[in-house]
Amino acid sequence: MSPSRKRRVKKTAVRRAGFHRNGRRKAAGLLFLLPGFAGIAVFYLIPFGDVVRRSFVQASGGRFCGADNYRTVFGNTAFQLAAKNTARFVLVCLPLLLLFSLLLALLVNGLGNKLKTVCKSAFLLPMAIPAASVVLLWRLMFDLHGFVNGLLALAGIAPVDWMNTGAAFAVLVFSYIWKNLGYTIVLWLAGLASVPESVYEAAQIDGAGRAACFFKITLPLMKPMIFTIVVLSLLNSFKVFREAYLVSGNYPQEDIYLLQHLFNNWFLDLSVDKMAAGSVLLALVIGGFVWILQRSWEEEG
Amino acid sequence: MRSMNMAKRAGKLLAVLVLAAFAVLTVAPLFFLACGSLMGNGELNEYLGPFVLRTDGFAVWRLFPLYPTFRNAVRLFFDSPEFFHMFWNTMAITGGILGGQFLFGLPAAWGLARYPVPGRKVFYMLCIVLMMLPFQVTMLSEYLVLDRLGLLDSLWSIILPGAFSTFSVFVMYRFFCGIPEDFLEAARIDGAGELRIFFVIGLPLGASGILSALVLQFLECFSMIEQPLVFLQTKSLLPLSLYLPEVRAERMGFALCCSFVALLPPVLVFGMGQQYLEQGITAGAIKE
Amino acid sequence: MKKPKKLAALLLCACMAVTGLTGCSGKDEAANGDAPGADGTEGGAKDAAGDGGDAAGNAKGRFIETELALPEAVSTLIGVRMCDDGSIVMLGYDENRASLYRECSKDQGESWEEASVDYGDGSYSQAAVNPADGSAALLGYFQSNAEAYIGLAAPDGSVKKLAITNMPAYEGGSGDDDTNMIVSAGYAGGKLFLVDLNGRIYEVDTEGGTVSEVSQSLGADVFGVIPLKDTVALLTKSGVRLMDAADGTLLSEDTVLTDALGVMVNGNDSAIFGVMLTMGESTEEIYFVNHDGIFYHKQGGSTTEQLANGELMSVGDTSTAFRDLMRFDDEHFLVFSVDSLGNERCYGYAYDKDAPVVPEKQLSVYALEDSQILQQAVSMFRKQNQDVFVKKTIGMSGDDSVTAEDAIKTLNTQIMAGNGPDVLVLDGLPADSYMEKGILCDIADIVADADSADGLFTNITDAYKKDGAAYQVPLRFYCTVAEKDDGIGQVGGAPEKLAETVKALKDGDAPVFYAQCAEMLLYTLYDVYSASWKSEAGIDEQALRSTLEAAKTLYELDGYEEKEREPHSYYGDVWGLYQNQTLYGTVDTGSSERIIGRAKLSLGTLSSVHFVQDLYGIENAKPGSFELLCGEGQKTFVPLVCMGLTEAAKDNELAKDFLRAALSAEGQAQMTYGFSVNRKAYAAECENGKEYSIGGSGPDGIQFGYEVKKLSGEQKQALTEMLESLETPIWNDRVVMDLVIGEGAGYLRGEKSLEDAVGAIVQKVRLYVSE
Repeated sequence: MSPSRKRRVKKTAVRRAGFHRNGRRKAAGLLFLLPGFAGIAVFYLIPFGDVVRRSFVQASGGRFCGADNYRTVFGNTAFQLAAKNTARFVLVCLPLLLLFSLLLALLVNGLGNKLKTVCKSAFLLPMAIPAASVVLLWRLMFDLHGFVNGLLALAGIAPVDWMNTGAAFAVLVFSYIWKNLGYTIVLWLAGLASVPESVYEAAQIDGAGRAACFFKITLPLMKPMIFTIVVLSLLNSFKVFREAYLVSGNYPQEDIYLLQHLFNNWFLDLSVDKMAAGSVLLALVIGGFVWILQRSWEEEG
Repeated sequence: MRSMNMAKRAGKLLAVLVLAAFAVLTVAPLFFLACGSLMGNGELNEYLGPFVLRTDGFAVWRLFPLYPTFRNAVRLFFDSPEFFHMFWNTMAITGGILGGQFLFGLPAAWGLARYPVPGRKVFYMLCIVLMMLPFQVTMLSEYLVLDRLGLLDSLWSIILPGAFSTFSVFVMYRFFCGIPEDFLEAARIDGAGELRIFFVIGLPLGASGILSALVLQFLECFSMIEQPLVFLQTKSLLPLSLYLPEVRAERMGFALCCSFVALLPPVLVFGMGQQYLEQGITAGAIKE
Repeated sequence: MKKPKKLAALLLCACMAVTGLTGCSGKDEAANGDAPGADGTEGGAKDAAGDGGDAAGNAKGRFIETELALPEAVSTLIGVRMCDDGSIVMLGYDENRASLYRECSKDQGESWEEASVDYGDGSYSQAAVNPADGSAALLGYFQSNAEAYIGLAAPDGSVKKLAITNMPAYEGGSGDDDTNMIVSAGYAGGKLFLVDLNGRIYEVDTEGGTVSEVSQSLGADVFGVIPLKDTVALLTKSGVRLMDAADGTLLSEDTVLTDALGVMVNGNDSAIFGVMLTMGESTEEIYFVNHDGIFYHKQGGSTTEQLANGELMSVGDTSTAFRDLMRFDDEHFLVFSVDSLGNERCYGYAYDKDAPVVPEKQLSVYALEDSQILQQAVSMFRKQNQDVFVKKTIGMSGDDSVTAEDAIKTLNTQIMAGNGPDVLVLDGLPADSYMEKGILCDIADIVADADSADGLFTNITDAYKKDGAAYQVPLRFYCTVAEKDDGIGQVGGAPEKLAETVKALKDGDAPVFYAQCAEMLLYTLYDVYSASWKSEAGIDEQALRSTLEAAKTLYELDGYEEKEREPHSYYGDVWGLYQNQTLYGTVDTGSSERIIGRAKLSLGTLSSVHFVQDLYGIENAKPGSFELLCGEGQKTFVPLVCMGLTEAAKDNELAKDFLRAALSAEGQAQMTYGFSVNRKAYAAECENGKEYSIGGSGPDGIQFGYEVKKLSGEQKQALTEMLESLETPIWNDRVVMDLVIGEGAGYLRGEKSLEDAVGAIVQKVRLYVSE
């Protein structure tokens, strides 16, 4: 047979096979997904659906009341305070963490391999310490008679009542950064390492300085990494509630009163309708934020 | 020339110092707990007296115990069955959750990453949002679901939701995305079925991503506080994370010892899994 | 890098292995040693109830309780025992302790034959009956060891005094008072054993009158003796040990039994205990009764079997103590106990094989913390309704580290899930929220019924009415008073006035108050002033500040040191926080100090008729008076055990009956704390007030004594008027109380400044109210 005819036959065969393949692949994908999805549906989607439903009905009796709960929540001063604090916390510590860890990552990058590993291990350590132990340490450090004040006294500075004044916010930020520093540094390091040397060399040939290299090449190439870092850091920022709750209870100092405290207290009060409405609002905000990040930074899904 | 070299070296030295300072900051607590466990009550009271007794002055610390004693460790290992009982609970929970994630979350992440599943983008977004919601949000509803399923007040109420956690799906997904499609295509052309591809290519190539997700989950399991508080009632089911011995004068050394022992497994696991952790997180996040 | 990793991995595996092993075995222990069979049985052992005894298996067969009347003449038992021939011999005094009677029953307690005992000039507090012949050894107090004696009462009523010639000295005495005392005694194996104040056990030679120590290996740890046929159960601080009566050897330690018996509370006169044992057919079979029920244990076995569930029995009331347990056969038991008011009771338990294991009708009652008041309400209802299973759930049972919030979260989820309780005790719970959310149902009609039946203190119950509907009603209440030396004028009023007046009393070094701890003082002032702090935005800062300042003045007035102050948790861990610890910050604690001249003024709660009698007694001995302490114009009271019915139980007749019973005079009769909200019960308490004398010595050996008498007509009138004048409840909110007491205590002790304390309280309460 002539070569062209052979090729033509092969092409059609391939196209038809490809069509089937797609369908089969879809099915295969679904099969892989199904058990996990079922579990997620039962333990996460359904409860969340229930929460959404509750945000539109009254707490007990279940009478439909439209957007009443949302209106109440918006006007609620405690909610406003908690939302403000939570937002403030995220807006302060996220950039702080990113910057800090980036700087330290740059420093670590310049070290030899052995030192690098030692550093990474040391920094990653706090992540492994469970919340209960952290609380113990926290108490010992930041109490009025604790270590930090002792150190300050040595330097002649008056003791600060950490947990009972606005300084509590600083303690919270410090705790968050301390815990997540290593994690983030490792991510940065990997991101830095992923940019091939060739790109830098090419840029240097073109006469670009180190700063320009950094801002125009490194950062843009690390966008997907930055997305991951931001998402994970945001997730961890919500976890800070645990330590705050264990140390200061339900009504901590005003500046560290977060949304979770509020939801917790609403639950104790049986105000489940307000809690549901507040939760839905929170979910919407988080969802919106992540969507924006995804749109602008992710190349593909 | 020489001045530039010196400047470079000075810069490097400075860098090392700064890093060392931070390293000390991060390692110090571990060290503190370790030392504290070895201290007798008398010595501890001397140092931490002002903190416990609310008197004037401040708590101080000595770098090494002056009179090391194993009394706390002895008390912990031989005299506190509740501690180990709770430890066992935590291990059971951790094992259950990790197993479940391996069985369910892993294939789900694979399916999501490599196959044109309809609505996968939406699902992906959903995963992220669900993962980020604080526990309080769904606490009541989850309780009702668990109640309906009859799982309350048993370890399953903690294990099952954890096994289907979307966090691991997220981490593993991002990693699976990074595997080049060519590998799979080649295998398909060779006639391999999807399941075979998963086992022969997906798992090995994705090993570090999977391990990193599991390691992260392991660490998380040792910190779980909210779920056990709400879903478990029988005292004998409580996990270790809820064992917060009160820092009182007589129990100080014991409290420190408990905290130290409680964090050993996570730290050890972390130590073992660290390289996978790094590989997994980083490789998964970088787009090729 | 590989070696450290391997090491780490090995270490981890070792760790897990170790904990796995210890954890596993720990788990078994925990399952075993836990609640003594209250959650059912572990099979094994003898099926004591014959047919269908296993609670898990069959659905039929349980012990039915009947209360048996005790002989009329006897008011206080000093000893009771079943004899070898099946008859029961009892010895007891009449009401005035004038005559001692010997009662004998040959029909398992249904009827009694009486004989009086001529006990000569002895005064006896306990009797140990000899099962062999029905004679008894009577124990009494003696003035000195040389005069030590026991009375031997023969079955015909004659008493022979047996002098004990070698009574050992009491080793723990202060000074040169070494008079010993016989703490407990019992006949076993034909011998008489006794335990003295030193904690040692002796055998008595009833012929010669000498005692010889037995079983020295136990040391000096024994505080009670319970005779079983041929063995003796020795109650020691570390548990129960069985001793062979014949030769004094100790049987091997039975840890299962010790664990199951749990804490044994020693009664006042050491003849009553928190648990009671008796023997079965053979030495190895032990039966015991405690608040969880009646149990069987075979020595050497690994479990105890529950025969009767304490939740269905009157003995489940934890404020009762036991005198004796008798077993006639597998289906008949008799329990002698003493209730919370000190009355002797006798309950017979007969096995009914057709009765369901758990009564079909069920009622669930929930309280955050347990209290004697709730226990009485439950006991009374159970007695009257034997076919109803009253499930009492306590949120914070005390021994766990369950916080109030955890308990409330659990309760809330259950309510939302539809599994809520029928009856709620609202102390410590967010009652206002529950009312708003419609969780509670309207009980105004039940309250009105109780009012028309017995009369209620409507000033108290009406305070909880909202637009004609009532959602909760306090079962008891109390108020705060100031008791002062004669000559001191009115003390109460606004906080500033209180502080001023009190400061003016300070004259030289003489103390004005006794050394109270910060929390107690704050609770007292909270009870007086908290109602005036309520404001729209949270808490009235100025009012709070002046109260805290007044507290500081009072606290520092006499310059007591921190370690001198009485700890507030002395009673706290018995009754918990939200039953309001001021119940024990009773005014007579301070008044007792006043009577010995160590205080001029005492502030505290006037918490029951009994305490009022006490106060008048003190004032007789040392002239003084007491006044109601209130803020400017607001007379506050503290509610105790506010009960409500859940909306889910709206149509539940049982729940309504429970509330009715709790409010009735009969139901309130056994409650000992607070003033009854039911007028009839209150009148009865005044009528039945016990009379006695109190004597004691303070530090430095100051002696004091006073007589407590029933309230006279005038006194009763004055008290009633005072109680009727109360108007507002305190700000009964757990969160606010915690905050004020917590921060305030810090301020009083000098740990923080007034500004900080007030600032923190105001800010947090504002946050709380705005949620």
